Amino acid sequence: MRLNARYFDGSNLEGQTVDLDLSPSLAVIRPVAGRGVLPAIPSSKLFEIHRSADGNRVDLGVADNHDIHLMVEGAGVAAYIDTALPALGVEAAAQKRHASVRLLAIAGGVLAVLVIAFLQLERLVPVLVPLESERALGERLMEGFVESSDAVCTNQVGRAALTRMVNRLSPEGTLPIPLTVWVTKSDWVNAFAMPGGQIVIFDGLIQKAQSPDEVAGVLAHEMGHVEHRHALRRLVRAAGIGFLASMVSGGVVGDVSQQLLVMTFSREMEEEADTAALKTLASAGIASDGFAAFFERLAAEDNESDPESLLAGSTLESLLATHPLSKERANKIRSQPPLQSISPALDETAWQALKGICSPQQAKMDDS
Amino acid sequence: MPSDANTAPANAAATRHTFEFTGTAGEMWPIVLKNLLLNIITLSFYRFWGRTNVRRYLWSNVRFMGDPLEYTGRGGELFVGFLIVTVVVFLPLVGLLTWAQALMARGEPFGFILFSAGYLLLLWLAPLGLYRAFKYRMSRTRWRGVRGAQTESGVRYATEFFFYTILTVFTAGLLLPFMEAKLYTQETNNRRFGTGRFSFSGSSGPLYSAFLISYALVVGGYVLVFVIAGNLAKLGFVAILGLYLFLGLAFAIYELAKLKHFWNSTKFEGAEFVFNGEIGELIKLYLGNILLTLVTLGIAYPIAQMRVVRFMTEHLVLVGQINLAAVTQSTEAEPGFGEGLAEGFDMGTI
Ligand SMILES: [Zn+2]
Repeated sequence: MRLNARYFDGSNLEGQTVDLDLSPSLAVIRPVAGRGVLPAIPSSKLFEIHRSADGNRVDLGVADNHDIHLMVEGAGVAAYIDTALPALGVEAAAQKRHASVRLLAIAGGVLAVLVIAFLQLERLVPVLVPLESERALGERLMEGFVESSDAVCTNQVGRAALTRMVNRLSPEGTLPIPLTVWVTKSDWVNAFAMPGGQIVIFDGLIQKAQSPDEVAGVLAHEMGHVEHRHALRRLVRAAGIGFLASMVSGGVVGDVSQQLLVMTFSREMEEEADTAALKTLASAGIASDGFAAFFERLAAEDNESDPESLLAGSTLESLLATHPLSKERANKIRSQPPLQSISPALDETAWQALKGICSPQQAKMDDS
Repeated sequence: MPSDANTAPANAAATRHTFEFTGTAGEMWPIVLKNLLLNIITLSFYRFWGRTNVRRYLWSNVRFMGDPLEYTGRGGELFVGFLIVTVVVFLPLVGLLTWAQALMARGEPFGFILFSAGYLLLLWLAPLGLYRAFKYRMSRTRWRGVRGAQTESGVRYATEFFFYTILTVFTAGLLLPFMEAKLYTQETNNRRFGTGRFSFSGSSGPLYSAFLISYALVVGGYVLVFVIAGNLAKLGFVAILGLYLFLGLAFAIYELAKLKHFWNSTKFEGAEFVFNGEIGELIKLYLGNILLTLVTLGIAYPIAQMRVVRFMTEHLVLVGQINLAAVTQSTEAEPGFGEGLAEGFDMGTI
């Protein structure tokens, strides 16, 4: 069967009327006007641009040459074409498959490189961000925190005890940034390190601790975060991942993946902070047993799930959630070689003073 | 004033070239749902291919002089565009802004300058992305085997957009018609189909009466709300929705004036476009699309786009003689990838 068609090859918008001969292998095109012969098209390259609802018109394109359009018109042409070209697709899918697989591989590679680059971005923090900037940022952040909370503990005797502990753990010059340690009135059993040497300890942690060594252990751990500039690195990573995730997903899965990646990677940092803490404790002559015991006790209490201490249980979670106590972590702390000479992190008087750091001033109330 | 059908040759009936849209929502829904499913599975990576599927369907169902358009773009091209722009433009820019913020945190005035510069750069990049998207879409649009083109790189467009936007902001929005007419002029005069040229001979003058009505309604609407309710926060969700609906409809007056004047002053190779839509139809289109998009939480957005395409094909004709034999294939270079910049600004949505 010969089909009537109009043939366009992109050379102009007028086109020409042709006779179209379709076979499963070849589409032969002869101009009606009879001047010359047009190049035949392999049928496998034909695809359907559109067909009319009544089946009386089919518009064909050519997969590797978009200059060519063939408009086939006549009663029942759609049905005829379907029998003549059973393999005709809406797009010549097979033609493109090869190209898309290669493209997908390249794209995947680029994306992987991008993701890795983003995750490594934080490693540049120590190189790119000067310490003074980090310190300024930390101060700026804490300004807001201190102003917004009237819960900063200022008992002078307690502060003095804390300062003694801090100085013992970190004598002048052992940390790249001067430390500022805050205690706030809160039942939370937690502590965290902010950028720029700012450390916040919740009073709940001090109350929960059974010895000054336990507090010293946590403090040394937070100092480890300060030493490695983890807070700033975490900020950079979160920003990077958030950006990447939102670029990739258009905001759909950004939050979830961000949470996931920030969480998993902070374990590496925890280990780094532990290692630093053990070194700090050793050079200060403080036993690391308290450090381990504290975490183990929290974990045990958490597992007991005592119905009476439902509230306590949920507050305990916080320190463990941010510092998950794995077997390896506990073992590592426990397996420290015993120190030659050890003494408690604070003597009994100072320890009691630290416990009262959030109580009102006993002596004269000069300034707050 | 715009020229219209009256200035066309006497045998206008014979040279009225119409558009036609043959698509249906019934055919579009399977495409929409397939895209939705694959977007979910691929964490929305499929969107480049999904958008391409939608466009291929829309284009192939637009008929001009009885023959369909063909969309020849590929999802992969959009994806590559996205990757390139992410690496070359957005990552450095985010780095710059982050650094600027760090400097600002240290209280250095240079940080503020850098930060402002970064944001101004964004104001320039957004229209550039828009223009690059025009360029890509035109180059991937075929009719009778001949492809469209958008000449120039878009740098001039983005620069004009940048300055006009600043001017418009400083004049409380009153320069908007002026800005839009200027940009439309550039857009249209750089548009080609094959070697055939589009041209625009209008100006912003005829837009102002409609614009001022819309403007007064919008300002009046806001004033009314503030007088009655004190402030927006006190209004309920429905009232706020109602307000936005009112604002949208108030602007439909201006939108219609724009459609009419812009199209009626646009020519292709000596033939003139005529737009014959009326305000009621435009409002119906807008209301339907808002409802459709809201009710389906945005899933039916391609259907809303389809309604816009159908609306345009129903109300646009090209009147006059075109020497079809004289319009030959475009010699403009085709961009190799597409729309990454527009994608970054969430504009590559059609
Ligand atoms: Zn930690």
